[in-house]
Order: sequence, then C-alpha cells, then structure tokens
Amino acid sequence: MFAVAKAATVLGVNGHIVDVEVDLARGLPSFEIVGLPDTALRESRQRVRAALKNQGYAFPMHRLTVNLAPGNLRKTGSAFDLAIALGILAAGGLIPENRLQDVLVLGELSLDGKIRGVGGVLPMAMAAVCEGITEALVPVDNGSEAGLVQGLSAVVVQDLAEAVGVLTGCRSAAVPKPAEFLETGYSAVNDLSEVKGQLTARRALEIAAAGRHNLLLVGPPGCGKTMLARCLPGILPPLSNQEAVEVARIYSVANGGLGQLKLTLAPPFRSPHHSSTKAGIIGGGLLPHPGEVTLAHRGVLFLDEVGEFGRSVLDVLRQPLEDGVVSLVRYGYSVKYPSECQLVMAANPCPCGFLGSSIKECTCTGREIAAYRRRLSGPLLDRIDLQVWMDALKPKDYHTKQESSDKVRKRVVAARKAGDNTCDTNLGPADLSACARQILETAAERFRLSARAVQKTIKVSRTVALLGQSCQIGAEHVAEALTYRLSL
Amino acid sequence: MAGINLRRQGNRYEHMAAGYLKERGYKIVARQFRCRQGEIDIIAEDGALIVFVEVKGRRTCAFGLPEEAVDWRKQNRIRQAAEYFLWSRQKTDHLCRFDVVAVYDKGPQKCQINHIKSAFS
Amino acid sequence: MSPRMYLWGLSLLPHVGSITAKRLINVLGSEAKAFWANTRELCAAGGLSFKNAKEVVSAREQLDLALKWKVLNEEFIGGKNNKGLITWLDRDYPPLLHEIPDPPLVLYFWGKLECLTRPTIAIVGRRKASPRGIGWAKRLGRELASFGITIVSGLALGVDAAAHAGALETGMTAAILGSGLDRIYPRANNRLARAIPKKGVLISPFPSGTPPLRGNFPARNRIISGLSRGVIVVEAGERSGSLITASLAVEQNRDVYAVPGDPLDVGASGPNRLIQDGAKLIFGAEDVLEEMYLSRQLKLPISQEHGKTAPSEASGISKLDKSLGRLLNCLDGPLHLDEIAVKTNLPAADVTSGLIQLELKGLVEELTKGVFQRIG
Repeated sequence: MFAVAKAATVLGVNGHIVDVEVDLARGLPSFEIVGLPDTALRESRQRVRAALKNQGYAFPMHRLTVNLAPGNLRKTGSAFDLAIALGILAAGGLIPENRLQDVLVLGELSLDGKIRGVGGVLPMAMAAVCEGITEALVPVDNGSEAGLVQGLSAVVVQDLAEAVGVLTGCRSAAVPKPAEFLETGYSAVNDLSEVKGQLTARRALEIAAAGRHNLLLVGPPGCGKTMLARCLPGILPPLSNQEAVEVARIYSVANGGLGQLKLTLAPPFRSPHHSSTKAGIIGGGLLPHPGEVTLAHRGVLFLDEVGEFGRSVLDVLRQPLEDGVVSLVRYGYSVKYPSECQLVMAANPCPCGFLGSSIKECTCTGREIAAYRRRLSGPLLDRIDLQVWMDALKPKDYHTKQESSDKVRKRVVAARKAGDNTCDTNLGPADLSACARQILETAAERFRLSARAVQKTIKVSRTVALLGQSCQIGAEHVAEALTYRLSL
Repeated sequence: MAGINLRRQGNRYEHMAAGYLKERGYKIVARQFRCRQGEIDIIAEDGALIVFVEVKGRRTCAFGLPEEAVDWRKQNRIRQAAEYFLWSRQKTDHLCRFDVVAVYDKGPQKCQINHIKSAFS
Repeated sequence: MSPRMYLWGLSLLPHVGSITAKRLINVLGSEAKAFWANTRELCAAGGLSFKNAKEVVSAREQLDLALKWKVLNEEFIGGKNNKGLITWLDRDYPPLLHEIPDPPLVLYFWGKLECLTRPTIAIVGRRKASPRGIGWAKRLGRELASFGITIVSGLALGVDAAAHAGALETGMTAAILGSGLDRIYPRANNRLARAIPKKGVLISPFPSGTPPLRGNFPARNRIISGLSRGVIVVEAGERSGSLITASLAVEQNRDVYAVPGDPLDVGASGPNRLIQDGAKLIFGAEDVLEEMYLSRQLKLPISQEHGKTAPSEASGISKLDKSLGRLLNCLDGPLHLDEIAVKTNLPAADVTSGLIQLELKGLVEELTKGVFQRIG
C-alpha cells in the first residue's frame, strides 16, 4: 500500500524534482501532507479528494499519508495535485506500482478531475531530464513547454481518467507539439519610423542597442522619451535560441501557467510603474517571485520618470545590474534569479519638466531642482553609459520621415557581429588612435571627466566605431561618445 | 425539564437509527460509547469495516438540516473517541468509516431517515 | 587701538548700518567714541529707537572686540591666500563706492583687489536664464573683460555665473556675495568661486560664517551697482532682483544698459521695460565701450594675449574638414543638437561628433545641455 510519484517544484528559476510518497495504512481515515508544503499545496487535499470522487474513483478509507521528499525543501504551488492523486491510485493498486517511478507528473486538479496548467513546467521538465527521468505527464496548457525539452517524452492529459488510462496503457498518449521560436514579438513595440525629430536621441538609442549600454534620456514632458525607449527592443538583435529558452524559463515561472508559453525571439521589454516596490523590482516576497529586473533578463528594463521611483527602490537595483544576478536569501533557503538586462531610464530635467526647454518656462526653484536631481544621483548613475538631453519637438519635426526599426536593427546586428569577432573586454586608452587619444585627453581635462567616465567614453566610442564598421577607434568616434557623457 | 425531554428525544432517534442499521445488516457493537475524549452514538460493524455513527434528529428544519449540525468540532470529538475505542479494543489496524444518520422527525409514526456513509474522515 | 578696528567693530553691531555709523562718527568725533556710544547717544546721534539702542549696547558688551580683531588680523596679515579686509578709511577702498550714499563700512575680500581700480561694469540677470541669455552674458563678459574692464556680478546661477565665466576667459571679474566668503552660495557655483580669486576677486560685506540670508541680498545688490560704472541687464523678469539692482544703479548715478529681447518673452520683459524707461539699448560690447569712452584701441595686456591666441584658432578653422565648417556656419545663435542636424542636413553622428571637436578647439560652447553656440 505504498507508491512513489515524481513531481517537481521551482526555486528561483530552477526546477527541483520532488518524490511524492503515498502510504495507505489501516486505522482511522485521515489525509495528511507532510514535507514543508505551503498553503496552496495543503489545500490540494480537498481538490484531490473531490477530483477522485468525481472521476469515479473511491477515495480510500485508510489513514493516508503523503510525504514530499526531500523534506527540507519548501514546496509551493498546486502542481502536485496530479502526482498526489495518481500516487493514491497507485498505492490503492489501480496503477502498477512501479509505473510511476520514472514519470514526471505535473498538473493542478479541478474539482471535477480536469487537469489545469501550472507555472514553471519548463524548468521542471529540464530538471527532470537532469535526474534521468524520461517521461512526463503534463497539462494540455503546458504541452508546448514540456515538448521543448530534449530527452523527455512528454504526454499531455486532459483529466485524471485519461492520465490513468495513459499510465495503464489502455489509452494512447497525446504527444504535444513543442513550442516554436517566434519572431512576432517585435510588432508589440513601437517602430522608430513613428518617432519624429529627436535625431541625436535616436542615434544614442542605436549606440545603446549596439553596445548594450545603459541609457538615460532627459527631456521635457511630451518630447518622446517613453516612445523612444519603447523602440529599443525593436532595434535589438533577436535572441539566440538558447537565450529565448532562458527567457521563456523565467516567464514560465512568473506566469503561473496561464495559457500557452510564447517562445519569442524578441528581447523582453519591461516598464514597471514608478510606484513599484522593492520586491516588485528585484523579486522577492515570502515565496520568492521573480521581479522586473529578472523579467527583463536579456532585454530592456525601462524606468520611466525615474525621479519618481523611491530612492530605496533604485538603490536595490545596483547589485543586480552589476552582477547580472539577484540573490535573495530568505530564512532557510536562498534563490538566484538572472538579471542581465539593459537599463533605460527617462527623467525630466526638473520637477515641472521644462528646465532648458525652448517652448515653456520652468517654474521650479533651484532647491526643488537640486532635490529632484539628487534622487537619481549616485551609484545608479554610475551604471549609465549614455545620456541624452532632449528638447521639445518643433512643429516642423512632425513631418520628417525617419528610418524604420528594421533598418536600424540591421546596422546594430552588424555592429554586434563585428564586436563579437574582436572581443576585447578590457579596453584602455592604448586601443585608441593617436588623435582619438589626444581628443580624449583634452576632453577629460576640459569636462573634468573621472577615470570611470573616461573608461565609459572609450567603451562607447568602440561601439560607435563598430557601428561605423571601422576597426580603429578614431577621433570622430570619441567625440561622438563624448556628446553622450553623463552630465547632470 | 427541557433537558430531560431532549435526552429522551435523542434516545428515541438513536433507537430508530440502530433499528435502521440492523435492518441493513450492520452489527451493532456499542451504543453511546463514552470516554474522556467524547462520545459516539452507535458503533457498528459492516463486514470487516468498523462504522462510527453519529445520530442527529430534528423536528423542524428551521435551524438547518440535522446533518449540518455535525460541525468540525463535533467531528474532532468523534474522531478522538473513535481512536480511543479502536485502541482500547486493540483494533487499530481495522479500516473504519464515519457515518451520520439524520432523522427527520415529522410526527410519531412518520420519521424519515437519511444515512450518509463516510460523512467525514 | 586703531580707528579701523572700531570701524570694523561698528560693522559687527546689529541695527548699525553705514548711514547710522557715519552719523555717529560725525557727531561724536571719532570711530572709537562712536563704537562706545551709550544708549542715549545712540538714540540722539544715531537715530535709533530706544529698544534697538539697548540691543546694540548688549551686543557690544558680549563682543570682545580687541581679541576678535587680533584673531582677524592673524588670519589676514601676511597676505595668506590674498584674503583681507578693507574699511572706508583705507586708501584702496574702491573710490566708486565712496560716491554712493551708504557705502559699506568694511569689505572682506579674497583675490586681487587691484582689479577694482580698472573700469568696472556689472552684468546682472536671471538665474533661470535661457540659453540665449546665458550666451549673451558670457559673450559680453568675455569681450568687455578683454578690453581690461572688470566684470562685476553677484555669483548667482544663470546670467551672473555666465558673466563671471566669460570674463575669466579673457580678463578679470569681481563677484559680490550675499554671504560670508567661506559660505559660497549657490553651491553649484563652488568651482567658479574657487577660480575667481586667481584672476579676480570675491567680495563680501559680511564676516565669515554669515549664511546667505534673504536680507543680505539687497546690500549685495547695492554694492554691485555701487562698484560699477554701469550695469548691464541681460535677462530679467519684471519685479526681479536684477531690476532692483538697475534702479539702485540709477539712484547711484550709474549708467544702465539693457540687452533687448522678444516683447512676448517673460525673460526679456525686464530689460525691455528698462529700455522703455530710458536705459541704453545695446547690441554688443562695442556699444558699452563707446558709452564708456573707451575706444577699441584701448587694449590692455590681457586682451593682447587673447589676440595672440586668435590667429592659431583661425588656422585651426582652415584645417577643419568640410562638415565642421558647415556646422560652424549654421550656428547663428544658440541651437539644440537636433536643430543643428536638421539645419545642416548632416547625420546626428556627424553633428554630435563635430560639435564636440569644435568645442574642444574652443570654437563653440555648450550653453545649456545640448544647446551650442559659436564663440566670437
């Protein structure tokens, strides 16, 4: 009267295989789940009981104990329902006892025994392959995710009876179609041809895209900062298949199994509202959940009106941006979320937004402006490689025709390719041509650039040179990079 | 005075329930089993299965159905008493079941009985 | 116990301004007697109310003048850092200040006081000036200073700072503070303030440690106009501090010049109103020079130095490639990078790169962020 089924839980963005051990013992009937279950998992008892009854199975009148091993790992979510139900049936002898040993079983049960989709199937299925599990039963909604994993033969099941049928061999298995890599995500963002005027800012965006530089846009309200930022994913090169799976993994965890997973090659674009909390931005909560930096992994994190964000919220961004990973430590365990994203921030030059604008008077006092600037000062600005001061649009700009994102993307892709070939991460003044070095030295003195600022300028000039398909960093490249130096 | 009256009513319902179970082949093991943990109205055997029965009767449905009166607190007391019973009779490896027998009292000769098997566990 | 010390002591007392002090000295006969005046004398000779006079006396009792004077002299004597104190008894007290009705008793200075012996012109204007206004202030400062004129201003943001910065490029400048010399306000101008003593002078009527209180600024404005032969108002709102300075200048019998602007522009309403009221309208530095009877030939060593650098710049232009020339030609006023790109029809990459190169060559300057103007 004992059976083991395999299920999985997610910690961070990694799956962990969990053994669901079911024991039926004589004695007073009871149903206990042990092994650090969370509330959603504890409630699984009611769902399993109802689902078994409604699918026509008798619920055993035994003392029923379900153990989730390893016992020290916190288990969350409702993905264990199906494994528990099948484990009970196997312990009761309805399914051959060792049939469940090498099958990953995932799915939430509805009260009538239908199987609902769950979150995190992709990382769970990947973990299963690592553990040597070769078969999987997954909900229909998650079929495309599970089908993506090499070395795992996944089967989709609609309800409990079908799952039993598949396991006992009296029903044929429905094999899911693996998700395809789509390039359609690009249509979701703005196209650069819609952006009017702002020639320098467009160029800065292109440089940022080509060199993965972090960008700060400063300008009066309505000058197109947000729109420009929304164009950035559209000019970034498409993700590689491996990167797309990385991103899909995160979204698989974050979405909680709502609908089919989209495996898009377009880099993600996240723009959290400025009222977001620390936990919302970097992830966290009692049961850790990926935050916006993680959701922007391999893509763009856009902070609009960055001055309005809480100071502490911006401060927690430093470490994730630096390391490319968020490590959250909670009592008893720690999780890591990847966070390699490109940061784009937009800010007004002053609280009213019109300082230095050619169309409207600024009404702020010096003190207000200083306080506003101070909010985005410090370590976060250190991460900014490019800064653009934008001016309000002029009426004649409305009619200008501009390049489309596709065209710009081609240049960016070419520059990235050239950059990958000549990969040298530690650039120094020695890599510049003689006149470029001279210009940099003059500028460093004139603009009082710090060593860090000089380093950043060299980095950006290299990108500029790559965009111009030039193998040497020349004076004009350094000069252009200097235009976008940080100056607040 | 009312208390005595109720006690008598309760006994009447229990009696009716026991008769009903006997008719259906149950073997009554004990009635009004009491211990520190609580009390069980009827303990019967259905083949190898031990059945703990809680009897509830009502004359009117104004306060809800009789079976609804068996709330989780009552269930817990019954469960603990059942545990004590199994232990004291050394029958802990038997399969068991908890039933509720509801009696709708609609007059001296017009009682309706509803037997809910495996009402809780 | 010198009269200078008592004069300095008088400047530290509350309610005793330069007019009261002058009257006390005249009536009582000496600075020492004025300083030690009793309540009755303060009321009768100084014209103070009884309450104020009592406050003066109690403040004087708490003030250990001799000791403080010693400390002050130890700080200044020896010419450390070019810091010092001048009183109106001193020979190098700016003669122009003696002309005004209420010259400050003492001035604390840091830098080259001799620059006040040259012709002086004040340039004042808005703190929140437009790029155009900043450009004007800088240009006027630079050009006038190159003729040996000392540019006087108030070290505020915007026009003031631009005028100082422009003057520092070619000549001398004097900044009048509304706070102690050790409390530079606004802090954004710290760097500028540190540069001034090397080529000009920082002046304050307030002792070290005085915070930039609201009430200090009228006194500062009076000194700005008092120290100058004329006041140029570049950009100012109506009822602004710059207009107050201008009206003080009129009271002090100084010339007022105004740079005209668009009648609808808020920032230009001040100078436009001044012109309506009779101020001299100027189009450039030459107009000011003519008014001051300084012919263009009058060039002082500094400006000759500047003249020497000019040809090398000119030869730099000839070496510049075509797109740089095109950029330079289109800059007929302050323009934003995007406007320049549209105007020259050059790609943004060439515009930004070109302007930085021009800026480093000293041919254009960035007025506000992203807005460039041609120099000269």
